[in-house]
Amino acid sequence: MSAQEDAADVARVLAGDVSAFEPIVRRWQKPLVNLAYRFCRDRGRAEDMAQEAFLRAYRRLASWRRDAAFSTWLFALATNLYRSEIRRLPPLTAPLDEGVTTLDRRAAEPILDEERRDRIVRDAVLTLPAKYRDVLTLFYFHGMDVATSAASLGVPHGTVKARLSRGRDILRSKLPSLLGNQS
Amino acid sequence: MKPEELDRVLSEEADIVPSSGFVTAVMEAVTTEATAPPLAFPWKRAWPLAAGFPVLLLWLALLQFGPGGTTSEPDLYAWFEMIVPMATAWVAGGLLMTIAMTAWSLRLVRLK
Repeated sequence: MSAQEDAADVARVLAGDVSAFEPIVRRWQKPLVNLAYRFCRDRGRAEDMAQEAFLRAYRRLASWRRDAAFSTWLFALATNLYRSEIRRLPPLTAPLDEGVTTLDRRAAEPILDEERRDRIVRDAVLTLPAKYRDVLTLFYFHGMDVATSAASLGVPHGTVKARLSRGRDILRSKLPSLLGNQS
Repeated sequence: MKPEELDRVLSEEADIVPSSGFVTAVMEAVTTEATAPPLAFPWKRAWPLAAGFPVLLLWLALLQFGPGGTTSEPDLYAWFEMIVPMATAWVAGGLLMTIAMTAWSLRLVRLK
C-alpha cells in the first residue's frame, strides 16, 4: 500500500503539486530521522540531517526510476547524505574513555548498568572505521537485512557480509576495555 | 560480549520520535525551494566576454580582409598560420584552467 501511495504522490509532485510531498515526509520522517540519529547520536542534528535528506529527495525526485522501491531509493539517498555529513562533522558523542570512567560499577540497579553498557556499545560503533561503521549501522537499522543494507549503501551483498563480520570482530575486540568488568 | 548479545544490543535500540514541527519545517524548506525564482544569468560578469567575442571576430576579419590584408582572394595558408598558434594557446589555457578548477574543487570537497 505504501509503495503505491509513494508512487502516486511522487507522480503528483512531478506534475507540479508541491503539497503532495507532505504525505511522503509524514510516511518516512521516522525512519529517516532514526537512521540519521544512528549516524550522529544527536536528536537535533538527526532532524537537520533528515530535513536535508528530504530536501535532496525533492530536488532529485525525477531521478527515481521505478525499477526499485521508492524506499530503497530514499534510503540510498539519505545514507549517502548522512555519510557525507558525518565525514564533514564527526558525531558529538562523548569520548568512550569518559563513558568508562563515568560508569558506576557500584550501581545498585543492574538495569541502569545494562542501559549504560548498551549505550557504550552503540556509541562504540561510531568509533569504527567508516566502512565498518556504515555497514553495522545500516544492517542493524534495517533489522539485520543484508540485501536492504547493500541496496542502501550501493555495494554488493558479499561486501556487506565481509565488512559486517570484520566490523563486529573489531567492535567485540574493543568492548572489554570499554566496558571494564561489565563485559 | 557474545555475538548474539552484540546483535541484541545493536538491533533492539528504541526509536526516537521526530519533533512535532518536523514535517512543517521540511515542507517550508521544500516550498521555499519550489517557489524560489531561478538564478538569473550573471550578465554583469559575463558581458566583457560576451562583448569580447564579436570584437575578436571583427579583429580577425579586419586582419584578413581589411586594408592591410589581401583583397583579391583570401590567403588560407596565412589564415591557418595565424589561427593555429592562437588556437593552441587557447586549448592549452583551457586545459590549464580545467586542471586548476578540478584541483580547487577537490580541495574544497576535502575541506568540506
